[in-house]
Amino acid sequence: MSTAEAQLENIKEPLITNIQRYSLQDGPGFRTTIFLKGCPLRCPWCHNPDTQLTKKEISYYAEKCIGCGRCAERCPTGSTYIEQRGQEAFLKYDRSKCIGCGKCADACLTGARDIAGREMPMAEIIREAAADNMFFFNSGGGVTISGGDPMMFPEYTLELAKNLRQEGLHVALETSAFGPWHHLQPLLQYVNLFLIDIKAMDAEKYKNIIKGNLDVILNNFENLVKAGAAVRARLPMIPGFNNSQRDYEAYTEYLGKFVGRIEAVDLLPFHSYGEKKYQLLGRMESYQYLNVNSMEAKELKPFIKMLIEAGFVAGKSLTVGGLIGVNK
Amino acid sequence: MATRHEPLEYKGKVIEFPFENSAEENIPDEELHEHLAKPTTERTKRLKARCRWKHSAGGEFVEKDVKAGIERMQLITEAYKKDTGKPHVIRRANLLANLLNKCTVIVQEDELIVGFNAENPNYVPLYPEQSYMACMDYILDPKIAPQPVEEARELAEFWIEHSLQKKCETYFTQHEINVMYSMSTLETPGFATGFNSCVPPYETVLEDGLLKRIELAQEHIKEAKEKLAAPYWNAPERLQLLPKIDLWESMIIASKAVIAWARRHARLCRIIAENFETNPQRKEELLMIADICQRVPAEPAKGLRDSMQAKWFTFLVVHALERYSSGYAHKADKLHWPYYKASVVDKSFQPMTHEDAVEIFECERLKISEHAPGKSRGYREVFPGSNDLFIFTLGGLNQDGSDGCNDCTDAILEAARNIRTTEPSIAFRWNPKGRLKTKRLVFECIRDGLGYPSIKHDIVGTQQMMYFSQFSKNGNGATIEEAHDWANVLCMSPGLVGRRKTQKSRSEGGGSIFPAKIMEITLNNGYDWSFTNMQVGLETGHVEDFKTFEDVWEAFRKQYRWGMDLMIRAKDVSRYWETRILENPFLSAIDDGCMELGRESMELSEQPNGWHNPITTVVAANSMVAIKKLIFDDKKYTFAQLKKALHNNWQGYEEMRKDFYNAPKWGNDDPYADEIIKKFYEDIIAGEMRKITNYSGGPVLPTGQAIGLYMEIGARTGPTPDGRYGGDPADDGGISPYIGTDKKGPTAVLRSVSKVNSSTQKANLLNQRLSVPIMRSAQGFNIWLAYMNTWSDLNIDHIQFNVVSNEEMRAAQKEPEKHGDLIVRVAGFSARFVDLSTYAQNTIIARTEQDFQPADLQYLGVEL
Repeated sequence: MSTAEAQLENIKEPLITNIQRYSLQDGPGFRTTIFLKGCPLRCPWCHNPDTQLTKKEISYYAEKCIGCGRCAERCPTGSTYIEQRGQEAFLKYDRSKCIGCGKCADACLTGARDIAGREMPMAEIIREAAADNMFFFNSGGGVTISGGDPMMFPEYTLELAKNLRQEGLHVALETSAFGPWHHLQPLLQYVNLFLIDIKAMDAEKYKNIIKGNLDVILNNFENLVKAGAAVRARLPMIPGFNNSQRDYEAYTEYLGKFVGRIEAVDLLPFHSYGEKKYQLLGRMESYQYLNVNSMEAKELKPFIKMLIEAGFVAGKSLTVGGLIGVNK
Repeated sequence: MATRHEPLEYKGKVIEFPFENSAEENIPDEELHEHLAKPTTERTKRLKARCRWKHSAGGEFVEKDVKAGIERMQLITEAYKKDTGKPHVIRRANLLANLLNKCTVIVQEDELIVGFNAENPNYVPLYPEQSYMACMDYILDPKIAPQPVEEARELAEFWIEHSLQKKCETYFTQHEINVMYSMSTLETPGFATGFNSCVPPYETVLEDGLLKRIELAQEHIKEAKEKLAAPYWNAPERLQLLPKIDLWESMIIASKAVIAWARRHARLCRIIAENFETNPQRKEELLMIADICQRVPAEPAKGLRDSMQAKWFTFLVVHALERYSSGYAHKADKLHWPYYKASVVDKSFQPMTHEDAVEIFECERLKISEHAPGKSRGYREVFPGSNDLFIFTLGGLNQDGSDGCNDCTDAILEAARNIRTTEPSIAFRWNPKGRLKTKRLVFECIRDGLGYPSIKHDIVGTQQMMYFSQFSKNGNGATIEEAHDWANVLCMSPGLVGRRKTQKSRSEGGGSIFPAKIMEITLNNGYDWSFTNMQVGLETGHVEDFKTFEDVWEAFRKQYRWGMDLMIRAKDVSRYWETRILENPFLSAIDDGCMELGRESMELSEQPNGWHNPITTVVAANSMVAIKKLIFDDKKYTFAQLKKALHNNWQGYEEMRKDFYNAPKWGNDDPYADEIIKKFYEDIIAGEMRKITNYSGGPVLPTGQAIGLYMEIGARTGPTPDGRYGGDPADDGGISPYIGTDKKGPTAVLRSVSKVNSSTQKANLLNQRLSVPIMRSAQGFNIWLAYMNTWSDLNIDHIQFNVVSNEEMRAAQKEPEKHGDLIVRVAGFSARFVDLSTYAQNTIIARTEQDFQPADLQYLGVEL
């Protein structure tokens, strides 16, 4: 948490990793999702490791590299260099020296190097986000602010949400809700739908493994519901982390209190497609779910049964996958 | 096992995509399309299995038995030689009559609709009076030559001096001819290729019957003769009646011949039924068909079997016997609705069920699948994987503004979905009023990967008919009501349908110009260094001397204008001679305008419909953007450097190529690129064209499309400043992003395209590839519908879809014999994938697949 707070102090304007038009699962209808770079938590299963750090990073696609050496010629810090071993030359990349300037990506002819994260003026973000407004209208869609975690940049997120609402757009916020309530509270007037991650019901796990604070999160969740906001609880289902009978019981007991007051509970089973990104970012060592298979929806049957007994309705206030589809 | 849509790397979400039809779960991806064909009846299943396709790949016929017939050549030449002294239009009528009276009549097993265009179902007829070159393509190739070949050669040679080509070439310089025939910047004109198109006014045949048309012509002759004999002879007024009398006379000859020919089919059916057929059910059918052919097209159609047979006879005469014309233009649901209603709804004549109707429409599709003209090798090459261009239209609005979709529309769509043939293709006029039930069927055809219906914006098309109406030379263009009755003439461009005012010659609209190649020669002072090694354009100056971007813009404009002027001049010179040597007495007889005014179908043009097809526009437009950005704005390179890199096909200039390739591209909703490209479409491509006035008195507008020419012209175009290598394919559709350069998904593509004002253009083809699993999931229709409604709100002229997985296409490349039912959209038409050349196959695989990213999601359906 300390690193996160330190970053919070420093960074007012996050980098953007992507603005994904035509998203169909980040809220109702066709949506444009804005990914802010930076997250206060460190979930070991994270599928988007490129949005964890606030700084620029280089993705390296080894299979596209033809070893021409243009990147090494242009690297200002010597992080990319040619190593001569006898007759043979090898292209080496030492990430510890990399400052993410992106000169190697500019030089690359084959797209083997790519920069994750770019500066983008807010006006440009709004323009890009509003561009598909006719699709939003026909599908009941809008814009989703996601990350990373937008709550890492509360003032910025507030400004962004406000601007998007001024464009007449439906705004959804996808967040871990890990931050002070006074950061979330002002968003109530601009955000139409809150997508709140609840990654476990165990305070120790939150603290020790994902570096968060369960009390803060549940408080925020409850405050949002009390304030009458539209909220969906999103539960990443992670093998060995929160898929035991005890976890299911804790979740069911807690969420059961909110039947009829939240829009839905979305179960999001673990999948292994994040692995490639760790590889590209040279961070395989921090990926702890290597060789863990994607979870099949049917594995969640017992949990689903419990939630239904608690009063959630399958297909309406209870989904697997979280979606949503076209609203019209 | 079929793959469902892949989960995406996305925040802790696994997204499930169950198939709408859960049985698909067990079908491997690469076989999906082999499981989709479901002919409605055993009959259509058999007809499809023995269908004599005439697809060509790389210019060669795919099926071994296909070759050219000699009968048509013999019969028309015999007639033409015989009555040299008669007025020409009468000679043309006699030529048709001789053909119809003596040609082989064919009735095949299981058929419900009868009639064919040659003496053998494996043959294609030749048209020596239209193009000597096209005939020689067959005569010189022993595999497909008509027999006896020496006689065929003599017949073809007889027509040289009577040909359109001979007549028209006189009016051009040798240089102009060389440029046009080189097929580099411009398409070879129709007077040399014989390629043509037409929209027959089927309505008069179905509603009146030909006996009524004969009566009308007789009355006109009677009146005219009375006028001639009235007191006080007035030469300037009355001499005009003479050619009219000849024309009416020719209409009578032609119509009588068509009736007699139809009745020869009736007799043949009766003979088979009474003497040979042993199956009692088939015997009854044959007698039924005999009854139909006896009555139609002589009398008005009364039921759906009548209208289908009458339409087919009319189609054969207009498109294949009297003259060759490609196309299958009609508004099928509107045309057949009264007869569908009589047979299926009211059951007052030829009573049948909806399923019976679907079967007949499947039979129609198989008739078209057997039908092909003897067109030149060049034109076989540009329509890979198909017989010819056959496109009809559905949907839209009725004349009174009510929804044009009806149960007949649905029957036609169901037939297309069930029988799975590449042809005929369908255009669907998308109107907000169109009923959901029908749109759902449109979706099902697309989802099943047929590539059609391609979708046209109904309101844009109707407004266009009104726009052209104002230029009518006789003040009788489309009325507000008639403007609603339109269909695509060929792949893309709308034209009126109905009892009159339809387009009857490709000299009105059709033919291509190639902006990518014109871009290339503009950079070389009009010289073509990469293909023909000759000066194919104007000398517009050395680009190295250009000071501003406007200099490049204006140089391109001059080159384009020169090409356009030449192209439209060539078409109107053709038209001038068509009116004199290629008259169509039958076509004239069934047009109310020709009948009333006594003016021949080639000569009379009540509703202008001028268009020409720019093909490869996006390569040229992206090149303009890259030049502006890198040479004039950023000043990173000079023209001298660019030319050097291009002349080396970018070799040794890889970094420079990367910059040009990465310059802003069309289709990404990028303001920089889109502003220039919008202007390129509106100011040059359409702006220069519309300053021309054609034969019909109206402007000419661009119909941006691709046919198969994006590959052929790509192969003839050197490297271009958009970062494309020499010989690579060009853009695959009039306004579609260049292959692989649209990076922001399908909504951004629509946004870019919508910036070009549709009403400045005649039509513009837009290709999209959509992911198979998304479209086949239960949410598929809703997602697609929201997408289509937005497309409509954005006022975009056209869109068409390929929904075929790369896995299936790759599997089909490996084992073509297992994938005969895999159909893909090539350009304005669909083709059997396995009949395409590998090159064509690869350009389709390379199209960016627009996934509905990250994915649509299923509500939970777990049983507990």
